[in-house]
Formats: sequence, C-alpha cells, structure tokens
Amino acid sequence: MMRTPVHLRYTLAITAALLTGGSSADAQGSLGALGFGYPVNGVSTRTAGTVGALAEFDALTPINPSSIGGISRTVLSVQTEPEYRTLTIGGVREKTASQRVPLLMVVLPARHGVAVSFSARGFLDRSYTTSTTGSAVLDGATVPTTDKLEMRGAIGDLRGAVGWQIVPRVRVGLGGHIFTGEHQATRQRSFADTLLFGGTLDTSKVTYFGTALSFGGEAQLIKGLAVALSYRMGNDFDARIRDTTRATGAVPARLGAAVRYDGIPGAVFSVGYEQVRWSDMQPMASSRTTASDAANYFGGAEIAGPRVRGYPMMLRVGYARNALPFSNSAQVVQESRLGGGVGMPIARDAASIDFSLQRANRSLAGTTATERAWLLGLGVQIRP
Amino acid sequence: MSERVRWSWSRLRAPLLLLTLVTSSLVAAACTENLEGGAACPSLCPEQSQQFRDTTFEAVALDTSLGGFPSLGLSATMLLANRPDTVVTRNILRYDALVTSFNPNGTGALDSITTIDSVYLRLPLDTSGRRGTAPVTVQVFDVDTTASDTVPAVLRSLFRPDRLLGALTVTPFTTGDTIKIPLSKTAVARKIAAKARLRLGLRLVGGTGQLRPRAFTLGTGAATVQYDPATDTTYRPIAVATTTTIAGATPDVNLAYTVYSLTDVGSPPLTANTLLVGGYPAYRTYLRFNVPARITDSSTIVRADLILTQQRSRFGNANDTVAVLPIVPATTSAVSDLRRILDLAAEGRFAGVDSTRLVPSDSGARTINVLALARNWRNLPTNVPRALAFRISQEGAQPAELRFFNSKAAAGLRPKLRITYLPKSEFVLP
Repeated sequence: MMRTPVHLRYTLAITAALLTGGSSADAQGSLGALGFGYPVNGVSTRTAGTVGALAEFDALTPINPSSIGGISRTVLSVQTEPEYRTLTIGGVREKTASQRVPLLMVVLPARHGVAVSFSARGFLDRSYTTSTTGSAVLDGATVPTTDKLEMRGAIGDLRGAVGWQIVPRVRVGLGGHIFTGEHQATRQRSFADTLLFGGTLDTSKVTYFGTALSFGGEAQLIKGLAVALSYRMGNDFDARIRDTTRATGAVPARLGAAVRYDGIPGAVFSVGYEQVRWSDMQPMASSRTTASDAANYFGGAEIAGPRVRGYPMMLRVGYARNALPFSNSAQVVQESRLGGGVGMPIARDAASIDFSLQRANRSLAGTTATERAWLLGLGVQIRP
Repeated sequence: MSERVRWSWSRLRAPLLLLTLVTSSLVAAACTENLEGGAACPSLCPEQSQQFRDTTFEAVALDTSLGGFPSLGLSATMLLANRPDTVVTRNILRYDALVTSFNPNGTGALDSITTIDSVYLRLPLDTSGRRGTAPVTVQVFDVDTTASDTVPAVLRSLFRPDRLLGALTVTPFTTGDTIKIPLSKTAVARKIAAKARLRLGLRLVGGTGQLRPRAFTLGTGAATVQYDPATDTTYRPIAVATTTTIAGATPDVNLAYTVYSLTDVGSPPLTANTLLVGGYPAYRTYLRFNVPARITDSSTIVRADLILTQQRSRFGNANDTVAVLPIVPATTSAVSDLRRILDLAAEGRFAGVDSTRLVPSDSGARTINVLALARNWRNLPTNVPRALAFRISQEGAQPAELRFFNSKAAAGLRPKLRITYLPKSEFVLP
C-alpha cells in the first residue's frame, strides 16, 4: 500500500490554504515604493530564511539556472510573503501591510543530470495608496482639496531554465526570461464644495515587456567548498501606454557570485554578492526618478536541527545589506535585513514546509524617513 | 483489533510546532491588505499632481432668442392680466362637447337635458400668480364663431357686450384657489339644446390686476363649465372639461387650441445684441458652444460657469426675483430648426444643471453653474451640438423677463465660458 497519497493530500491541503488564505495583491509603499517599486526578488522561503545568502545555490530560487542541474525529482514550490511596514517621518508613524505571492516554481528532471524549470516570481512591486489633503489655486483663490492616489501593479519575471550537472562537481545552466507586468494609477481629487467644483478621477495604465537571458555555473572547488556565478543579460524593456511604446530601457543586468561551505556535516554557510545595473531602467523613468546601480551583500547559514520523524529540521539565519534601486533624489535608499527561518518535512521526503521571518530597516540619506518592516515567509515544496 | 497509540510530549512536539507555525503564518497571510499611506508626502511621493488650468473664453458659436413660448397647449398655467402699462392678455377656453343628456335620478334611463340651473365657469387658480389689491372684473364672452377663430383679431372682435355670458368682480390678491363665474343659463341652455359648442373668452376689466388660471391638470383641462341638468337640486352638477376638435387637425393641434391665450400688450421687442429669456409672450434663449476637444475630451473639467452680462429690464415684475431654468438640447445636428430643437430639449435638472435666480432689474455679470453639463460633453456623440438653452420659470404665466448681451455685443459683454480643468496626463510612469 502506498503512503504517499495520504501525505500528498495533507500537503496539498496546506498548499491550498496558503494560496487562498490571503490576498494576492502585490504591494509596497513609502521608501520602498519609489520609482518602479520595491525589488521583491522572489526567492524561495528557504533562501529568504538566510536573507538571500543561498540564492545562487538554491534550486527553488530562480536566480542561477545552474542550480537546478542534477535535480532528480519533480518539485513544485509555492509560497506567500506578507510584509508589515512602519514608516516614520517627521515624528509621524504610518503602518501599512501588503500581501505577496513572490514565487511559483516547478522543476522537472530529465535525463543525464538535466532538469528544466519554469517559474514566476515578483520582480518589482509598486502598490500603494496615498491620501493627502492639499489645496488648489483656482482663478486666484485657494481651494482645499483631498487627493487620493492608488497605484497598483507589479512587474514579474517569468523564467524557463535548463540546468545540467555535467559532473558531480560542476553544473551549468541557461535561462530565458520574460519580464512583464503593468501599473495602473488612479488619481482622485475632490473639493469640499461639491456644488461648485467637480472632483477628478483620472486613470493611467502602463504595461511592461522585456526579455533577458541568464547564465550560471556552479563548481565545487574542494570538498565542502563551492562557488557559484550567474549573470543576467537584459534586452530591451518597453513601457507601453495603450498601443504606444512610451519609453524603452533595458532589463537590468545582474551579476551574482556566492561561496558556499558545507564541510561541516549538517551545516551550510554561504556568502554572496550581487550587482544589479538598475540604471538600465533609467530611460523608462521621468526626471523625478533616479535609478541607481545596486551592490548587495549576503551572508547566512543553514544548520540541521532537531529531527522530526527521522528527518532533520533545518534552522536558518542570515543578514544582508541592500541598496534599493529607485529614489527621488541622488541619494539611495539603503536597506539592511536580518532574518531567520525553519524548514520542516511534513510528508516524509515528499513535501516540506518552510518559514522565514525577516526584519528590514530602510533609510534614505538626507531625509528623516525611516522604514522598518517585518517580512513573513511561508512556503511549501512538494516532491511527488 | 486496533493498535493502542502511546502519546508523549516528544511525539507531539513536532506536530504542535508545525501546527503553530502554519496557523500563525496563515493568520498573518490572511490579514487584510492595508496600503493606505500618505505621511511621506509630499517629500517622498513619487508622483506629482498636475496643476489645474483656468480659462475664460468666448465659446459661443451660435446664440439666439426665440419667441412664442410656451407652445400652445403645453402650459400648465396661463396669465389673465390687465396691466395696461405692462401686459394685457385674454384667455380662450373651448368646450366643444357639452353634455346634452343625463340619467334622471333612480330611473336608469337616459334623458336629454332641457333645462339647466346653476351654470358656472369654475376656474382654478394658481394663487402665487395673483396681483392687484383693487377689484377687477372677470368677464366671460361667447367667442364661438364660424369665422377663422384661430386668428387673434377675429377672436378679439368677439369680446363685445352682446356676447357677454357672465362676469365676476374679484380682488385678485384676496381670491382663493378657485373662482366660480356665473354664466347665462339661457345662452348655455341654448347651446346644449342645439348640441353646439361653447367657446369662452376671458378678460379682466375695471382695474389693474392679474390672475393665473390653471390651464391643465394631469393632462386634462382644469377649468370646467358646471351646470345642473335639471332644476331639481338633488342632481349632481355636470362638469364639462375643456376639449376641442378641429377638423383634420392632429391631436397636438387640438390640444394647442383647447386652452390658450391672446396677448394685447406684451414685452417690448427684442433689441439688437440681446438675448431674452421670458417676457410675454415668452422667449427662450439658445446657446451653442464650441469648446476645444482638449478640454472636453482630454481633460477633467472641475468647474464650468457660463458668464452672461445682464441688461437692466424694466418690463413686468422687474424687481421680483425670478428663476431662469436651463434646458438641454439633445437633438443631433440632423435637426436644424431651432424651434424644434427647443421643443425637444430636456429639462436641465436631468443633466444636473440647476436653476439660477436673478432679478430682472439688476445688471452686470451673472454666473451660471454648468459644471454637470460640461462634464457630460465628452460623452455626447459628435453629431450632438454642445448647447444649452434657458427659459423663464412660470413661462407664459408671468411677464418677467431677463435680458443678456449676446455674442455680437461689445467684447467685454459677450457670453463666456469659464472652465477650470485638469489636463489628462499619463502620470503612471514614475
């Protein structure tokens, strides 16, 4: 008698709950919402537990296509990642919450160490609402107004990738990306005197389309020490309003590198670095937005903890320093993240569930604005 | 036989931990999204507000005033006035179908009417139109003729003593909502016996004053001729409503000549460079606008005023506030007859344009809020002219008039549109 179906039902039930439990709208605001939005960089919950340190090596993080090489079982991964932010500026605190499904991914093994994967991940998230009171000068008179701007939308990264484990110590991979999405802005302005003045309700929508290729490799230099390198080469990135291409930039090129040490049984340590050429998107933006290249640093560890039904519970921790890509000045929004996570098998080796919790601190030089955020991750991997 | 399970903390620890993490994560994930912000504005708000623009311009492509309103048969009230220095009118009421038979009490049979009693013209009044504190006499004449009685001169000639059917002296300011004018029993009985029609002409004499009789109520004539079909007072009076039948005429023509008025003295003629609203007979003013598409179609209009320069008027009730009512022409350019366009226009309130109250004796710039109308222009088919017309309140039942300069007047006096708008912008790109 097969036990797997029972475990699968259990796993699928949790998966379904994850997918239906929260709104799927992507969101970001305040410091992170500048420009084209917050770089979600959808990574697996496992990688999120190490705050990105395992991104180059993790098969369920669609960054380095070589990481799927050698996968011998089909893997389906889904996750959710709500974020709770508190913005402080000028003594005023403002709390917002957003829901994200940053990554959906399936990996399908083939023969001879080859595997293919398809994924959809969040790339840039630009959802926020601002409500402000102001005034308008009409015919020389100042009239009080209430303004509300709703911005909704995101740009996603759809990737199809092939990974090949050439020999046990070397893997390479190739990925093709489509970056697509849309932003819809709704601006509402109303006046106190509704008889004399009519409110305005204006909408504007832009769609994005771009492509990119990514390459990656991973090699074990000596026992317990491996390095990974990946590069994403961006092609044209169009911003289209209705049928017209309003601006063309390029999908930001990205270079990433990481070193992993797993020489200690049950423990993995990794440090990484990535450089993203966000300025490739500057031609798509107006003069109000500055896109700056970002250099990000990661460090983290994954350690086998207590065993659950014979399988180890994985404990993760990590730290990262990131530069956010967009600003409304020459200054760059800096972000530091500290996080941890837990991975648990829930259906013997047929499924696992991961949790992550990250604390992010963001600040923009030259302003008093600071932002603190909790990012909670919950992911399920099914290996039927 | 079932296997007994041994429970212990070590066995429960992992499932409980998993359950706790899953539950807390699901609760967090299920929390309502809240993206409301704004504290960081304006320093960090990435989108800048577009500035409103004001423009005042001569947008009138065509403006004119048309007289002869309201159309006969379409006025709920009419004016019966004797104000020689202002307005003098007569009213015509047609009763072309007098009741000539009745049911004697309790017999169930139908008998011809041979004798009548208590013959009155029952005239409901709109008491808000009373004017005059001195007694005046309402005279009622038989204006039936075989001559062309749609010609005012013919009708006026019939207001003579030998055709007088009845009279009632009243003080207009103290009348109630109905007056009953006794009519000649002999004359009306003769009409009934002959199965003839009764056509009545009313005028005021003997003093200055005005009344506002109700012409129609719920589509039927309001003034009735009443009489008892016998001298026995146990019979209920018969009430005959106004009606007329003109051979070969359409129903609207019949309706037009059921109850109508004649004007002996009316408003001064329309002068050059003038738009006229109201007066007696009443005028309506039509304005067609030419507004750039960049404003109507590519912007959001937040304020729209029609600025008219009022001329001082001394006609009618010049110092009484009067409402000017907007009407919105909705016909396509296939209809070019302005009279027809105005007849088919919709009431302004259906387009969200409210009335404006003005005093005829005032002068200067007057602002009429046309915001709702202007905001709707972008939704109109291109073959529907952007237009607005005005009529006076109590049109045809009061003499007040409002005069404005038209588009041929001096530059500073012409009609203008003042529009505040927000140009449409593609503000979504950061």
